[in-house]
Parts: sequence; C-alpha cells; structure tokens
Amino acid sequence: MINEIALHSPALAIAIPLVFAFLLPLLKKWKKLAALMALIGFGAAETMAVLVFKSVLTEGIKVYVMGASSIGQTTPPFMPVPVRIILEIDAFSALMGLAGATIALLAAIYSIKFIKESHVKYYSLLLLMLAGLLGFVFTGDLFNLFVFFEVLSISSIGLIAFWLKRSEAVEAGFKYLTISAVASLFVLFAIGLLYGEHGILNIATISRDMLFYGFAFTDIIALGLLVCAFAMKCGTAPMHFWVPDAYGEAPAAVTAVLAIASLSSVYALLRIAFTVFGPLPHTEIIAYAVIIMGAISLFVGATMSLVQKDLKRLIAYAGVSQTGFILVAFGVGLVAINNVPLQAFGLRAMQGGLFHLINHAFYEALLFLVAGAIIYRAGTKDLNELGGLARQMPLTAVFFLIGAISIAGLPPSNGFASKILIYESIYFFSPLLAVIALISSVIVVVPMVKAFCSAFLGPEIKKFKSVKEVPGSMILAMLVLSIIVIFFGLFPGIMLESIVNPAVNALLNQAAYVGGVL
Amino acid sequence: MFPLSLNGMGAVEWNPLMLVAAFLLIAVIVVLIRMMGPKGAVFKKFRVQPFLSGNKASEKNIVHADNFFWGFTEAFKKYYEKMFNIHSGQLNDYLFWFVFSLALVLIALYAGVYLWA
Repeated sequence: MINEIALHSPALAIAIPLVFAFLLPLLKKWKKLAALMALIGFGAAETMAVLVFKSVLTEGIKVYVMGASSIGQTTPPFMPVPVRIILEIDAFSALMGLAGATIALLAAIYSIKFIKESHVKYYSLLLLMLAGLLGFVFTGDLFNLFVFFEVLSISSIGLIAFWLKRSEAVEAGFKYLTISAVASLFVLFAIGLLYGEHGILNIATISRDMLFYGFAFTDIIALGLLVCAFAMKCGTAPMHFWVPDAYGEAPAAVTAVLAIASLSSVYALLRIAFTVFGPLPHTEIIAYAVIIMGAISLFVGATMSLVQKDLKRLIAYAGVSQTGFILVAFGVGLVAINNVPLQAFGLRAMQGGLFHLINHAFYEALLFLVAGAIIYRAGTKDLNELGGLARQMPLTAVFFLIGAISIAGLPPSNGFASKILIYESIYFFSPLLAVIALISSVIVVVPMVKAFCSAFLGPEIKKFKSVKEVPGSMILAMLVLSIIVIFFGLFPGIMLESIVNPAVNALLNQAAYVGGVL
Repeated sequence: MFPLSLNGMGAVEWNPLMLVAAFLLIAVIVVLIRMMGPKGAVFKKFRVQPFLSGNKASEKNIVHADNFFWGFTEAFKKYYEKMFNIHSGQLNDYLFWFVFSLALVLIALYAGVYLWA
C-alpha cells in the first residue's frame, strides 16, 4: 500500500489539494469540519511532496505518465514522440515542491485562528494555489506549465483580494489580475511559437531538438517572452511594482505562500534557460539580461524597503532585493558555466543562488507571518503607529528577529551562508556586481532595524497595553519556520550537500532530464 | 563543514556553531558582569524602561518609523523623488515597464544572435 502511494506520489501531490479544494464548498455548513478537512488536505499534499523528494534523491529523476498503461511509458505505442501528460521531477523541482507544500501547510495551520470569516472560500483557494504550485514545478510539458501557471495565478488573485471590504485589497487583486493575464498571454504565445517550430510540447523533446538541430528565430522570440514573463512574475525590477501591492494587501498567510509561488517563477525561468534552451550562445545573452535585472532588483528593492512605513510593503521590497540576489547568482552561473576558467565560480554561484532561493522562501514566509501576527493583535501594520510590542508579544518579537537577521544576511543565519557563496563567486565574475550586492545587503539591514525598533521596541503605547501574544496555532507555524531557518543557518554544510548540490546538478544535467523521457 | 575556499580566497571554512558558542560565551560574561552590580538595580528598577538621549522615553517623544534614518533619505532625496515617480501605483506604468523590459530583452537577443554572431 505504502509502495503504491509512493509510486503515484507525483500525481497524488497535485490531485489531493485539487480534490480537497472542490470538496470543501460542500462542507460550507460545517465550518470546523471544513477547516479540518483542509488541514488534512495540506498534510496529505505535504506527505506526497516528501515522498517525491525522498524518491528523487535516492532513485534519480522521477517520470510519471498520465493515461498510459504503465507510469513509465512515455511514448505511446507506434508513436516516436511523447505526447501524453508527463510529470518529470528532478531534484530541483522536488525541492521546490517540498518547500511549497511545507510553507502552504504552515500557512494553513497559521490561518486556523488568523482567518475569521469565509473559511471555506479561503481554504479552497489556498488548496487550489498549492495544486497549481505543485503542478507548475512537477510538469514535464510546456502546455501544462501554462495551465498550472494559470491555476496558480487565478487562485492567487482570489486570495489577494480576499478582504473584499478593503478597497486597497481589491485594487491589488485587480492589478495582479491584469499583469498576470498579460504575462500568461506572453507565455502562451511563446509556447505556441515553440509548438509551431518543434511540433511538440514536451520539455525534454524540445530540449533534445535544440541540442541536435540548433534554434530558429521563433525559438529566440519564445525565449525572450518566457524569460520576461517569468521574471515579472518573480518580482524582478523593473517589473516588480505589483509585488508590494499584492504582498501588502493579501492575508499574511497567503503572502507567505505567494512568496514561494513567485519563487516558483524563478524555477520556471531557470528550467527554460538551462533545460529547454541549454547552455547555447543565446542563453548567455539572456544570462546578462538576468544579471542586469537582478542587480537593479538588488538596489531598488533594498532602497525602497528603507522608506516604507507599512510593515508588509517593507518586507515585500526587501524580498525584491533578495530575488535580485538569486537572479544575479544564476545569471553569473549561466554565463560562467560555459567559460572554463570561470566554471568553478559559476557552479558556486548557482549553489549560492539555489541555497538563497530556499532560504528566502522560508525566512520571507516567517517575516510575513510575524507581520500577520502584529496585524492580528495590534490591528495595524503602520510602523508609525506601532511600538513597544515586545513586552506583550515577546515570542513574535523573537521570531521577527530571526527572520530579520536572516534576510539581512547577518552571521550565523542561513541568509549569510547563501549570500557569502554568492559574493565570493560573483566577485570573480565582476567585482562591481559583488559591491552592488554587498551594499544592497547592508541597506537591507536598515529597514529591518527600523521595523524591529518601530514595532517592538520603545516605550509602552497605551492603546496596545491590552495586546496579548497570538494564539497557539499561529505561534506553532512561526516556530516551525524559525526552527527551519535556524537549522539551515547552523548546518549550511549539510544543507549544501544534501539538498542544494543535487538540485544544482539536476539543473545543469540537461542530458539526464532529456533521458528521463526519451 | 561549509567550505569557503575558492581560488585566491585561501582555505577557509565557515562554522556557524563556533560563532554561536562565542556569542554564548560573551553572553555569560555579560551576565556575570551584570551580577556584580547592586542587587536588584538592573532587574527591578530600570527594567523595560527605554531612554532617549538620556531622558526617559514616553509615548509623546517616541521616534516614529518616518524619522528613522532621516539623514540617509535626505541625502538621497533626488534618487527617492525619481523612485517615487516611477512607483506611481498606476497599472499603466506597471504594464509599460513590463513591455519595455520585454522589448529590450528581445532587441538584445536579436542583436546578440543575428547581428553580432
């Protein structure tokens, strides 16, 4: 039985949250039962993500074919190409799936008390978001990449505008809807171009075609469209404007999931650049574009974070800066990996970038949950109004400090460990880039100090005298995230060896990805 | 172990546990020094009382978030004016920057692949 479940875990990881999402509205009258069912759904999806991750780490790339007589039958009888819906999961996609499922589960636990109305609608959309996220990172073909991209975007829109009574939330939802729709159109157009050129949508097959037959003009257009659409969705400057709006207005637990959803766009960008197009000369141009966008994100995100008075917008801008770190690292990796003298630095940059991606997902989730805890008790996220909350909410203050130290990259945090890898590798590529990264990282310390001092320190404020620590479920979610962040920080070597290196190797091994299906 | 040993950087290894141990050691020393002071003075009399430039801080003279790092934002006033203009909150502007970035990337790709190849 367990072996059967493990065998079908890739499909179950997507199907379980999808089924639960549509099941919950039937339980509208029984709110507590609906919430319990939602938690079971998130827990089951997390279990499947763990099984997939474990299986991929021990057995290598996992291929799951839908609708075939056996799950490994990638090409139908008498057909030379794979045309079925195929899930192809390597160490990188498995890691993204695990991170997404973990954060979603913690967000759901946090939401038990945090969400006071429309539980069924909320959990349904959150489950749909998780299904979209897992499908997006697990899929092995471009059309399903688009489908799950849409599922993810549409459920995100519903959750960003969840508090319909707030005009700002509706506005943020509308902005996200419009910009997501444009991005989706570009992605669909790019997929259409690739389909027209190669006559197939399977990523591995297109990748093999590019390796053997080179690329056409339409492929180049598709590459540009896909990279820009995914760069926008991961909040890269100068296309990051939606990030503070959406992150600022969505419920805090949603923002935590939204952050990993945005990072899954980094995954898609890398999958396109490394796996579909591979290390060909034109990907070097894309790599430089990614480095430039990353460098702009680094500086703009950090400096704009400094002047925010809304706590969630402050964290969102700091997050833009961190996305810049990830993009710079992978951009340098993409350039350097084909350049023999720089190859070692390229590999190190990619290790740093991937480690930072995972670190960023967890500490940003933690920071947003802390912001939610403040909103839950103090009723405001305006830093000018807050103050002295460390007396009433000491645990929340400690959790914020852990997240802030990590995002600022101060030792001994996990943020420091991943950033140091990025600094030292990009320095050999371009010292100027390393200087920009260092300055931006220093600047990010400033808004974190400002947020901590404004919200938690200072004299006691009368209107917050009756404020108490948040309920246990919210504490539990923040505690687990803090433990993960601390563990990653204290044992970076273990993390590097056990999860980061396999993921980087999987991303670089284009032949293995192609060989998984063909 | 977490290696930091790229070429030219020397063989360095980052061990956060050592740093945590050092922090703990310093914390113990701080507590020991604190205990040498008059009994109860720190823990009872001055505990949780914030001070601002030597004066006891109250709700009236609190430093608000807007005032933090005022010097920095003032020094970069022109930069921030431009940044605020760009961050207009207008959806049209969001889409403009998206399409503008896409156009730049496509031009760079076309130039890189076909003109300079």
